[in-house]
Amino acid sequence: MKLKKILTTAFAVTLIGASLAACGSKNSGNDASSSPSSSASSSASASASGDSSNSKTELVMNYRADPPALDVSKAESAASFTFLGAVSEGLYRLDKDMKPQPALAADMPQISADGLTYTIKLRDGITWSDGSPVTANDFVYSFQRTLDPKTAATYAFVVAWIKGGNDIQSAKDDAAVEAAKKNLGAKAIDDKTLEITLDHPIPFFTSMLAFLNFYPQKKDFVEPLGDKNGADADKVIGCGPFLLTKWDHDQTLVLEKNPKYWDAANVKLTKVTLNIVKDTATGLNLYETGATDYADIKGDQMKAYEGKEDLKIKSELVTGYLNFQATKVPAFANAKVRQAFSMAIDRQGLADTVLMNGSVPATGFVPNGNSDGNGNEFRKIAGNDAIAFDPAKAKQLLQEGLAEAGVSKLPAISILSDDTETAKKMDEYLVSQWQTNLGVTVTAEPMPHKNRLDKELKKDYTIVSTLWGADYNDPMTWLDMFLKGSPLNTQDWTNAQYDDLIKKAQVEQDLAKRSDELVQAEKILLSEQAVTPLYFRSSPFVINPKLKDLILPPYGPDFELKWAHFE
Amino acid sequence: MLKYTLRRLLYMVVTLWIIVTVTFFLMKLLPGDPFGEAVLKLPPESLAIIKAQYGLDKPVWQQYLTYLGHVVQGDLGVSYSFPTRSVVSVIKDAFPASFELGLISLIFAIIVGLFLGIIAALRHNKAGDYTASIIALIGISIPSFVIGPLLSYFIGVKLRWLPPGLWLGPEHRVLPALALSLGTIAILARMMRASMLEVMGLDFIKTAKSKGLSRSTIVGKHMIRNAILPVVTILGPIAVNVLTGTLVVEKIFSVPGLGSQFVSSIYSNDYTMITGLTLFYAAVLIIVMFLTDIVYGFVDPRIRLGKGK
Repeated sequence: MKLKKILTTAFAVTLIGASLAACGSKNSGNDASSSPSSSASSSASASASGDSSNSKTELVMNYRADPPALDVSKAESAASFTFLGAVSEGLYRLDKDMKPQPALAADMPQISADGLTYTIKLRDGITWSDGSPVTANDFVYSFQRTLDPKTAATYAFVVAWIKGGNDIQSAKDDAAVEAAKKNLGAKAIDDKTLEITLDHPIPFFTSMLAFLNFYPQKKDFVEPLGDKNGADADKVIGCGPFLLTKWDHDQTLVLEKNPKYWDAANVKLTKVTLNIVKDTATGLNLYETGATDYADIKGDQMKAYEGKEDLKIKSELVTGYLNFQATKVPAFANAKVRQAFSMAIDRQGLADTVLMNGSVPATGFVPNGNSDGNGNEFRKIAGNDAIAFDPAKAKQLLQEGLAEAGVSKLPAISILSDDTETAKKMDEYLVSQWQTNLGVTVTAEPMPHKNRLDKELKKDYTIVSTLWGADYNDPMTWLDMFLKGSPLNTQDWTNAQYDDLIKKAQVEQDLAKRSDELVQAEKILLSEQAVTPLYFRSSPFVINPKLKDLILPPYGPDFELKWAHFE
Repeated sequence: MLKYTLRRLLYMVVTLWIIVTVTFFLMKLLPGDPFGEAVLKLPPESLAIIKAQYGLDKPVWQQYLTYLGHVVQGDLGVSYSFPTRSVVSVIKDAFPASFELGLISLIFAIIVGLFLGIIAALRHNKAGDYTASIIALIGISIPSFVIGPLLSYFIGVKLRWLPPGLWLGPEHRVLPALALSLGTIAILARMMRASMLEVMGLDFIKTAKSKGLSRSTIVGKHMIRNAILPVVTILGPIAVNVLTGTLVVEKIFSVPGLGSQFVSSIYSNDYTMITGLTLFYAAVLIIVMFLTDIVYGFVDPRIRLGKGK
């Protein structure tokens, strides 16, 4: 009887042990030393002892979303840009000052006098991660594929700046597409020389060549995969600092150093593990236990880190603003009414009490940090064009505006917004500001992002609270939205002088003059309050203080890993 | 039994067909466009090509018939948000984690819940009863989205006993499973307690006692066996609830399961994903209910399915 009991117990223990081991082995897939928690704990011990000679080379980060396909042509989200930037590379790579540095290109481009033709020599010895050489044809193929209407690439519009790009995009059938491809202004002069001819001069085009949609693509790899290109770790090829060695969807992505990368000597990290963590509280908990070196946090989580070196704030090229629909609410066609609504908002209060994430009150529409296209920062050139908070004047302006518009009473007004926590808090704040400072009743109408966007684009709103993030680092990405007839000009505002300035700037070759035209255009936009900017967005995060040179660009990718290293 | 099974299978198919149909048409009523910002940036030619790829250029009734034809062949379509991934592959990737989490929680809930219920009944109106009832009350009244972060913070961060999130090794399973099972523990404990108390008052227990049977025999063979029947009937729905209800817990503990996919698909108007996942969840629910009925027949010999019908 006793023996039976012992045997039963032994059997039970074995069974439990085996099942636990099975659970563990399913997910580890690598040795214990490389698991996130163990590498993190090693960092904790290294930092505790302060031993810099034994600095770790494995980084573990939280990441907020599983990237859609890692396909150069189809990349459209920050997640795709971030990972593609790590596994591949363009002719140039932006450094920490957002200045393009030669990457696959041997040097800066030779630009023709008319600013239209770029001749670029490729670096010697650059290869794809499978060892095959990267040639100028890989760029030509990439551009053609992106522009092909069948690829349906969201960011094809930037590649279409190349001469003949629009013709490919608008070609009606396969034969027309193929014919148009032959006329594209991107040619491989030889394996090492690429020539790009633009449709019109673009002063920031060299920076654009660092943008993800201008990366090369390897035809032999991409074509056989078809729609599955970039779907899994084994379906991604690049020529960048890292290789994507593991991709468990919605769970973990692992990057390992690419030994074939031309600048491998300057890549210090040997491995980067990115765990998909969607909840910022959990992300912060993981950071607290040392299981991750980086976590995005929210405004209300910042307080606990104030004064600590872990806390950093990333300024983004993102402006939060309001639009007032003038066709639906004729009173909003009157500039004074719009100015009144804008003037009644205390933006500092919004940043301090609602956003609480490092965002600052907007001082214009083009956000801080955005270039002016002429080597300067736009905001510094344009100055502070914010409408000052002045409730008394706002009330007066509203009366005048309504009288001018011949309106005795405003119709029912609502503020359409996303239904995120922050957006809803902001609705409450704005509604209360307008009620208190203008005596106007506005109701909040939060809804899921895609529904909000749909209603906004269909102009089915009275006031909309929306956001715009730069597609590229130039004022034009902000200002051409409000040209007459633009799909983004949903408020139905038009101004001939504004249109004239923007159209001039689109072809202007004198960069100083162009910058000035764009500044003048923004002044019109703001003086009329065609849009009502509220804040320039920032996002806080915590980072292992020993991790250096992890660049967080203000637009495009979420971070640039190439130069990151531990002290 | 065979006739009964076949009839149930037919009902299952009809139910699924109704669910697919209703979901498909409801989804068409959703405001918004599944392509979001892309609509702004794509030229009309490309937009027309994508719409044609997804069949959105055809009349709705035609889209419906095409979709139904694909579903019959086991093809639930391609996600709009992740165009390289089919809905089936998303389910294949994500469901194992949800299932594993649900299963661990269910096993945990059954063991602890029944144990608490039995203890509460046997110690009726004594300390044991009160303790078990308090635990049950806490489990019912505190939702998982409250208990989850608390467990993650106190056990994960403050005490450092277990990881506060992620889904890597076995140690990462404990906290989410615990957070998910508390509500179920409470339900099972309360049901088991009530059921035990009812059985305890029945005549055959008195008879068993008067026959001089040992307490363990009475409890084990007579009380629990009889009291567990009503509890088994709710195990089906509870199992479904646990398997599919991992949504919040998955997000809190970063479990790569299906729940969060479902929510994000609704937010992104990912039509194929919404319909596919609804269908999948419905199928799981129906199958589990069916299995419960079968198991019920085995547990209670008085029930012989299909007889006399």
